[in-house]
Amino acid sequence: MNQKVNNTSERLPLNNTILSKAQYGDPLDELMTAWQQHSDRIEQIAGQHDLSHIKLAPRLLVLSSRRRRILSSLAMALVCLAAIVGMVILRQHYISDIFEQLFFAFLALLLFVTLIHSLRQTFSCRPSRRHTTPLSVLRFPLSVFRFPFSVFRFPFSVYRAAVIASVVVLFLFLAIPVQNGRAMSHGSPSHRSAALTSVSFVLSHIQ
Amino acid sequence: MEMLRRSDSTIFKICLMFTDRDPKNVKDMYQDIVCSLWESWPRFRGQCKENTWVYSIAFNTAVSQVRHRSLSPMFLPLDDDTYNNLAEESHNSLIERLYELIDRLSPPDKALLLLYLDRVPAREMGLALGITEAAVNHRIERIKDKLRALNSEL
Repeated sequence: MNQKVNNTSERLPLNNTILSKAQYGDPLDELMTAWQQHSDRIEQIAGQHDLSHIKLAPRLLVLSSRRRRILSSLAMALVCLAAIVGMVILRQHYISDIFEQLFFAFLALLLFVTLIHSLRQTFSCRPSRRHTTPLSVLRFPLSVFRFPFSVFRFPFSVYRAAVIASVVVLFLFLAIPVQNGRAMSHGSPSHRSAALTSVSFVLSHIQ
Repeated sequence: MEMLRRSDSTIFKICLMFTDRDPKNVKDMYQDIVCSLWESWPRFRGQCKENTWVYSIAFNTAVSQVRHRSLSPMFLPLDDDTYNNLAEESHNSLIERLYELIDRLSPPDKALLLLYLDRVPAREMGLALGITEAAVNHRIERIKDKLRALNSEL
């Protein structure tokens, strides 16, 4: 032991308080002493710290990331629901062509999957078992969807992109004027196909 | 605000330990920790001491400061004098030496060392860091060994 102390002290500068003392005792004793003085001075500085100028935002505006996720998932679910309802109304009044039926059925299916996914996201954002809500009972039935190769395992951004695309298509379908000056949904099947062809022509040139 | 007043020195110590003691960085971390405490305060149910809860929130914030900073919804205008005083306080040669040793530890070890140096009981340390009392004692012994090794290396 003495040999070790002598060897170490030869390598160390003598004016280094922690190191030179540490060779003869526990270094944490020195750390504790130095820290205690340092800590006292920090407490003095903290005592002089003026906190009156700190203006904290109202708590309602301070959303945790979990609440943000819940809100965005719920918003997504509501958008999907609105889009599906809109599609059902459109299908009843305007759609006649079999391809449009299929196209709308595909979009509706996509929106339905996204709706379920959003709801699952909402319920899975609960912080812990202590904070169970009445809606927590839905976790078990929804867990049925956890099978391998599930569409629910796609990244959430894919669903967001799908919903945005669906809503844009719906908007185009309702708002783009055809040759007779009315909205596309009011035009004849030939007018609609002509308008869709021109849209796809423009999109292909943009790409 | 009263909670913040009581915990101010604890937050400063964590800021100094987890930064390079530059006033700007200390100020940034202080701001992040205060924001996190403000967000988490409604969830404090008194299951541990208030200071232990502050330690646990502040440690988590300090470790993931960069990510939290981009999401921080608040900006606190803070006075520069306090941070300059803290920086000056840390420029003492002995304290610099102390931080030089601490800087070589991993963030979890730093957290545990700060609790140990502040003489927090082992049970409270375990609550703050989410580990058992036995694990606390074991890790403290390991940190002591690590510090002894660092001392002999430097």
